[in-house]
Amino acid sequence: MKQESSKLQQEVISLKNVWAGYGNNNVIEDVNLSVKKTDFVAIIGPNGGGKTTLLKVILGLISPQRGEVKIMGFPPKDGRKFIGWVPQETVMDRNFPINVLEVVLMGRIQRENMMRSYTKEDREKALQALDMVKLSNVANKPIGEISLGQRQRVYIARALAKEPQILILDEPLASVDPSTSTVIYELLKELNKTITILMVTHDIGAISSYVKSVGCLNKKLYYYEDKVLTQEMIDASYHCPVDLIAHGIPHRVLPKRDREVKS
Amino acid sequence: MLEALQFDFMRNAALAGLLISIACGVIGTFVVTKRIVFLSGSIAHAAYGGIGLGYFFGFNPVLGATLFSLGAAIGMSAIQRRSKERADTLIGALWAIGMAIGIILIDLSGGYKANLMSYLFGSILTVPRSDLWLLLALDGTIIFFVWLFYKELVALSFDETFSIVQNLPIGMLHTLLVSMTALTVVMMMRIVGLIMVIALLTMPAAISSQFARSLKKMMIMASFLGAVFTLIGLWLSYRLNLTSGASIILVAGFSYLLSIAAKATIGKS
Repeated sequence: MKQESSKLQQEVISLKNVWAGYGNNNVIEDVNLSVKKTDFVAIIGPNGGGKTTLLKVILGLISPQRGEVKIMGFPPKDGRKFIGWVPQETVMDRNFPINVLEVVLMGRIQRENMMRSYTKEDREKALQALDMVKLSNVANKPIGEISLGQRQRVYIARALAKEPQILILDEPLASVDPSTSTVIYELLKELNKTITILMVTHDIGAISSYVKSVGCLNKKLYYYEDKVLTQEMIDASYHCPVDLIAHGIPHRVLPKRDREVKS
Repeated sequence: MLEALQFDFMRNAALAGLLISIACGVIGTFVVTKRIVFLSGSIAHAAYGGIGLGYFFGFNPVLGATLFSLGAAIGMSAIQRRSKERADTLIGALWAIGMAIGIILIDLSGGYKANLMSYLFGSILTVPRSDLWLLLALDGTIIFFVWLFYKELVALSFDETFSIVQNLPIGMLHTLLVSMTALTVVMMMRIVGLIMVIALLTMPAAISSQFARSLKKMMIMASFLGAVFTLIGLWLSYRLNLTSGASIILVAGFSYLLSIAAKATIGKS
């Protein structure tokens, strides 16, 4: 019955037989993915497994060598206007002289309103977005003076200011503490009532209690429209034994030595 | 200082310093936050090829430098955006190639080359009145474009990927930014010489970035600091009979180091 209704839902992200990489080097191979409206999909996998490349293909930052990518039925470069993009907090410049509200306002920028300053409506939407992530109180603070978890929520607010159909997040929990990650997951769960969410992450810990489906990516995507993670799935994608979550305690999936900086 | 300003050349030099500080503060802010210091250095040195071209074909070397640096800027902007992998190597190569072309062309052109040193080390004391108008036009152009594309340039500097996802014409904005950088760099060559251009472009902005809370304030602060450094450097060079460009850079350099020390002390307490 559940399967039936999900088939009727609108497909918002679709990848068909997608191969992508750099030069002759395929980073992802033959990836098929179908994300439907109000899905909450998590993609896990080791570093170098192609998570970043997958995101780049979906966002239209690189073109696939083979296969087809559609966002809301459009090619990525057109379809990405429906996407709210949340980067990994750790790649951002904390010393950039800018305050929280100005960062969130960036979500209102589009090609059509170039050469104009922000309108009253832009400001209202940005403030609403900040309210949604419960950060109205730090609107005028410099981005470098708030906590890491708050900064991560600011980038979510920036994506929300765009009023997106789809939210795409890169490692939303990289280096935040467990209590902060609960706050972020609760927020995403709330947003997921109306917005489709796709995220890539290391953190399998909290996944199972929030997301609706999980994919394991290591060159190939092992995707299951079911949130039950099996040890086989994880082993298949990591090619190394990984402990599954014990008692719901979030913990690192990868051994420390594998946590190299991604490009 | 007032006594020095009796002289026409000192008045011109002071005015030139003030005018260039504005362009320097605005563009330097982007150069520092967007982290294109290396790219700007490369543009400055590639401009030397244009100077050689001017000498060789007998037209104004500044015009040659302008064309050459604009060409280099547009080329490097394209390189930096398309090939992420080896962008810095390529930019470094262009840096040297431009410079080498300049030197060879100057070798080949023969004749009287007394002015040559002024491009390398600057000659703010011989800035003609016509250059002041040029500087004013440059300031006007830069302020106009930055005003027009302010929110887009901020977004580009802060988060390029996000700007692409927002469908901004990143290529156009990036090219605009490095072209303005190229023009600024060429004008600054007259003041401190191409070897020290980068220092004057980046140090006032780097100092401001430690204290300013928005890009706009950083620009204003950097322009103000640039003007102060230029005037103090100029005065020192007049009083102590030193090279003006180097004096300006040393004033800026010591201030930068002091600001880092100050910031570290404040941070600790």
